[in-house]
Amino acid sequence: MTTDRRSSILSRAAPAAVLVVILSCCGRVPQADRLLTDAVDASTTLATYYDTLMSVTLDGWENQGVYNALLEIAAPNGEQYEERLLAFRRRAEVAHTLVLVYQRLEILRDPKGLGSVTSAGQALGEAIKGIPNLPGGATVPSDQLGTAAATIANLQRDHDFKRALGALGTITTGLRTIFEAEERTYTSVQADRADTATSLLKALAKRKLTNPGSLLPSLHLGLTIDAPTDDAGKAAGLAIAVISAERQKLAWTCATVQTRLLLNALDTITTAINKGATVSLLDLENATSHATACLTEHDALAKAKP
Amino acid sequence: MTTNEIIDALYRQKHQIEEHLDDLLARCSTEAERTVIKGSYARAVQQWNDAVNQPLRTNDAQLGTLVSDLTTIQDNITTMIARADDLGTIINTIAKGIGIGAKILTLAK
Repeated sequence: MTTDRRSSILSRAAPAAVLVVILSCCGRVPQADRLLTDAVDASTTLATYYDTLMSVTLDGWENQGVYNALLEIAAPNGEQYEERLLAFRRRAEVAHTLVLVYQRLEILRDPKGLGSVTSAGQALGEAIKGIPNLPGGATVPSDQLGTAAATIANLQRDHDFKRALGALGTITTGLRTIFEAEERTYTSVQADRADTATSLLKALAKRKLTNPGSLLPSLHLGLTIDAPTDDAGKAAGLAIAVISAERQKLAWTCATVQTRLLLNALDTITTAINKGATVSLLDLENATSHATACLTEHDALAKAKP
Repeated sequence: MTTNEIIDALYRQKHQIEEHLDDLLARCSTEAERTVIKGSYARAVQQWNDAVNQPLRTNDAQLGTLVSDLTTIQDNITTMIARADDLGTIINTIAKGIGIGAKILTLAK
């Protein structure tokens, strides 16, 4: 069967989000391209999630430092924040490199493309090397992940799509395991950033270093609201800050759950493909779309208010 | 007992103190009281950071009891603050919670 004919049959037989990947093929299969496009989007979202977690950690550190200074308490232990930042940075680097690998797999079937795939595999190996542990009982299987990255880096022949996906399946399973084990840490770190921001705002207001009443004009009531300076106005502003913190937490919880679902779907798909099974891309596309929306909402809330 | 329950318990401890810290400090009449409260808060921050920064072991049977005790203490503190109880009693109860937090982390590391 020719590649074109196989592609044609697949196009007709597969429902919108259902994919049958014929891994023994050597030619370009449109559905395989869709899988890779989805995988690029999913990996990008995962990388954004970890990038955001780094920003949240920095904000939380800053909030804690300022809060302690205001109340004349010794500065928090910076090493703890640095350790956490390093751990999140490593995870972000793996996710960013995964994006590169999936992008370059799209040109794997082009003989000239093999070099870029292997260099991306080498980059993935470097990113995985030394990725530190975080809590949740997650012991990062760096040896196993490194072996998988090496498989990609050492692809010797053109069109070795199946072998590459097999190795990526191992990496995806590893990332999924880490994420699931550390999920509570991710939500706890963000909640701390939001709640300490509220405590800091109250402390600043008490010392007349800011006017929480300034938050009132952000209400969408169809009228211009002046920033009040009386006690009732300040109390109303603090109430907005508390609600804003809760909204940020909800958005982050949504982003966390959807990113976990995204990883589950990607892991399920790569595992199924390696077994030659039929897979659906719907769950992956839905989770990626939802996670991206929740990350965008969190970003907007975090930038707008405490 | 799960890692999540340990992280949550130490998170609640940090933020319960943080939420009332300014008011509690305002109630202090001696530098010694202020020092104890500030020290408890600093340790609560440290304990939560410890909990989220490293793998925790959850197989020790005592952990469940300790987390439950810490939750009870947090409920008591909420009640005592709402009733504006004697500051010394509140300070001691907070310090007791910090002690339990330290035991939890010792067993979970």
